[in-house]
Amino acid sequence: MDEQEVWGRYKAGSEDDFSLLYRHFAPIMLRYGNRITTDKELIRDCLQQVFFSLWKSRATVGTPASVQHYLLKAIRNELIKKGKRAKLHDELPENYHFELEDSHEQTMIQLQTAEMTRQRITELLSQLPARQREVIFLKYYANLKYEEIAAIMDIGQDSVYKTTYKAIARLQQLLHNSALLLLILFF
Amino acid sequence: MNHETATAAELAADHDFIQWVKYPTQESMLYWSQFAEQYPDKAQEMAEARRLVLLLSQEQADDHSFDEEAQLVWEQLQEAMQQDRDRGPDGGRVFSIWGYPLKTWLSAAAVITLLLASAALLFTRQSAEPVTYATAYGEKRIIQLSDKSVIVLNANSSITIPENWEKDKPRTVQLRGEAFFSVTQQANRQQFIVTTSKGTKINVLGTEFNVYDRGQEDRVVLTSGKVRLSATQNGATRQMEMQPGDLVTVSAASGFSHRRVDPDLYTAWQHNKVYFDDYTLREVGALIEEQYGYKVEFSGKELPGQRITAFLEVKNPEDILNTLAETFELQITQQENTIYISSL
Repeated sequence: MDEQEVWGRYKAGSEDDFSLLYRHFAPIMLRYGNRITTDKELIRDCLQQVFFSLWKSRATVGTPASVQHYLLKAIRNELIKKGKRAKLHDELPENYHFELEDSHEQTMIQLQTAEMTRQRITELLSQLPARQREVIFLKYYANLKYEEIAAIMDIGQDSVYKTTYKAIARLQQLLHNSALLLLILFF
Repeated sequence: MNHETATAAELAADHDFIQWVKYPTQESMLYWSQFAEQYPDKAQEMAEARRLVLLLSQEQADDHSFDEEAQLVWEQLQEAMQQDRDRGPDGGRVFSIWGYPLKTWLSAAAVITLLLASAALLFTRQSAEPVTYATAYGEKRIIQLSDKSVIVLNANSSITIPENWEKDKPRTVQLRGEAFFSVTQQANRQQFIVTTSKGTKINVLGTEFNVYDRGQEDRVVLTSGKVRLSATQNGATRQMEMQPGDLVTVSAASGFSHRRVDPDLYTAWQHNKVYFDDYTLREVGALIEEQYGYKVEFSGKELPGQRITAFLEVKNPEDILNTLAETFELQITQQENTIYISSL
């Protein structure tokens, strides 16, 4: 399936292709929204608004080089426009450290099962500063290039790379401490 | 980036490295295996970087709440579009979904199943090389091909798809592991051929079927339509036509063997269910090894031969192990990556 062809047919007024775009991209847009704010209703409203506007403006809208890139940026802008600032994830200070509350041994016992390991890692990831989480999502889940992430987040490419690297280094350090790295192979 | 001097963290942040880990192609596999050969002292960094990439890519993959939410918003969007049409060109207001009466909810629920099946579709990528999609232990993936055929790839499996199919030649894909295929029929009755790692060929017109290519035998279950199986053994090629509801196993030892089954049970893994059809514990252990990457060890001679028939909802291997423990009164312990099973 060619994304540009689907986009072309949607622009020509095909509801089937519009629906195809929605089904393909809505889940990742929701996931992304979830990284930016905890307000689920806001995310849903913004998703609907983005696609509603997309449908209304089908005749005039351009053809983006990457549809996913275009839509991720669209929902981010919509969230920021509509978002009540307070509900967006608070940016954590750069020197923020989260601590493992357990001793090494207790951690190992806790990690007996893969499911617990998975939860633990989700927990660790969720404790990274908001900007790092957003970059990690775009880099590793949405699989975008550094330049694309920079364009979506309106920051320099260099700063995207540094944020990614910082997040990795922090996780790495943490994983070494908790011996988690050994276990993540197994799920 | 200079890969030779990179640390694990730098490799894990490197775009090419990430692409190789997540979406390996023949080209990238060649590059990184040559790299590993040339710089053996980098093995540790590479292994750690790989783990980091997998870790960072982790989303709650089995969390379907986003698909369901997407469906709810879609229903709402349809309403808004309809009202906009009724109202004429100047209308257009977005309503919050939660104020809607129960009836809308019910109709939404009815469509969810349909959407779930297609929500995670991937656009096949545009490149000249054949593309390989692979799943990790415990992961599933839905792939839509350019001809609108859909493949659901089970855990620890991979499928290789050529970039472009010529119109008058069969569409061919290579499977390792297990997958469910829903193949579209083309106007010119172009064939679709699945080849397993053991060389069994499944030749299809338009149809739905499941292929299991693990262990000693290939297993094909046909849900609908018609397929022709062919396998070459000891230099001789044998063929067989399948009807819906047929299960055919192909093994080097006993050739084709055929029986009638309920195909739904064999495709239930797509919905996180597993069907043990008079399995030995040894076979259950093999399934856990193949799909979740553990090693399973039994103690005692009789235990691995015990049989079980069960239909379970499975989110993780513990769901299977708990059922075994209760049914057979077993003690199950885990040390690192190995699961030890013994009688109480």
